[in-house]
Amino acid sequence: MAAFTIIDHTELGAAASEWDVTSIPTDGTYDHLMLKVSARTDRSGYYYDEMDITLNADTGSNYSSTTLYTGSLTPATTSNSSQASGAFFDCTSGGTLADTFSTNTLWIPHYANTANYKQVLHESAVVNDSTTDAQWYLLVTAMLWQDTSAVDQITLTPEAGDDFVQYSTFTLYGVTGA
Amino acid sequence: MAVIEAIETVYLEADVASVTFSSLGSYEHLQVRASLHGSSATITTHLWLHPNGDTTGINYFKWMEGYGSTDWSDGRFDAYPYQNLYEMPMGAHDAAAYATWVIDFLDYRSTTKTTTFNYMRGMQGITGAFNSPTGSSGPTQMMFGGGLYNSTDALASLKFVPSTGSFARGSEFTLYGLNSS
Repeated sequence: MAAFTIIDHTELGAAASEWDVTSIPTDGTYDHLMLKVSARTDRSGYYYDEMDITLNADTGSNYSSTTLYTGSLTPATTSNSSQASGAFFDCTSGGTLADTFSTNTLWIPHYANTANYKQVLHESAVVNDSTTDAQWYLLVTAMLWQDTSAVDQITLTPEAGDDFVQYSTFTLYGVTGA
Repeated sequence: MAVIEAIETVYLEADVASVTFSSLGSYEHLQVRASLHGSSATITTHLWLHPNGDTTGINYFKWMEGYGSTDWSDGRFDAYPYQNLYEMPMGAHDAAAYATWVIDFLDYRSTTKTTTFNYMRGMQGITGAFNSPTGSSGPTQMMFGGGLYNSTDALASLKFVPSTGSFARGSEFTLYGLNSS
């Protein structure tokens, strides 16, 4: 049996305010989820934009995140808790070199179990043709969704209310164990 | 058709000056997994990448890393003729120690996007100390990085070269394609 299955692939034909996938199988078909995102937003004047992530459309204060990141010579770490969405999932934005999209990978292990809270591991390269501080970012993030429900919906939304631009792509894979 | 397919593996039976993948297939994303050691006896060796064989200065790359008790993100390089994915063990280091990379190229066939990628790179030396380039331990570093190749041409080839010397015998690259339908 194949280890990876494509659940959803979306390439935006026009700007969109979110990417939302529903009806993710939670019947044991897959063990884990992997999401590959090549995205950019139209947030004017900014070199990055956060993609807020919600699971099962939950906007309660159930998300916490810790990120190791850099946009300068000095890496740093930051964290938050009791948030209405997962944070620190960044992509390129209106200030970044034209036609340049971030590369993002998210893993959600054991997403369908109903005994544990859900962890999300994320890595993101927000690259740019600049060496100026804060005009590019690298991030690796761990996020906790404090809920034991199986994940059947994932939504990514640009933080500032802007849009993902045309040609942004989102590929969600189901990963099967032996 | 499998979602993830191995396109090509290159295992080096002898030292070579470069490794090129020239048939990247028709996938949505690519991933390269590499395990590398350099042949140079005395000089720190970095992994360089020429997307599409291009040696003009349109590469931009950044990284952050930790080694020992130090963190560092001295990777802010503009307009280089190559992508630098940083160090591998070399001749002065333990011959059996290899550094590893996992490199992701997303939407690599797009002609409306510049080529961007990120990678995770790790190398644990025999001791925990950063010990490059002169010690025998090898570079002990953990790194996350990303690169921008400022061209909207579809990515058609990947040429990997060591910054000096050759890739040593026993080094290996595997190229994977990730489908989206």
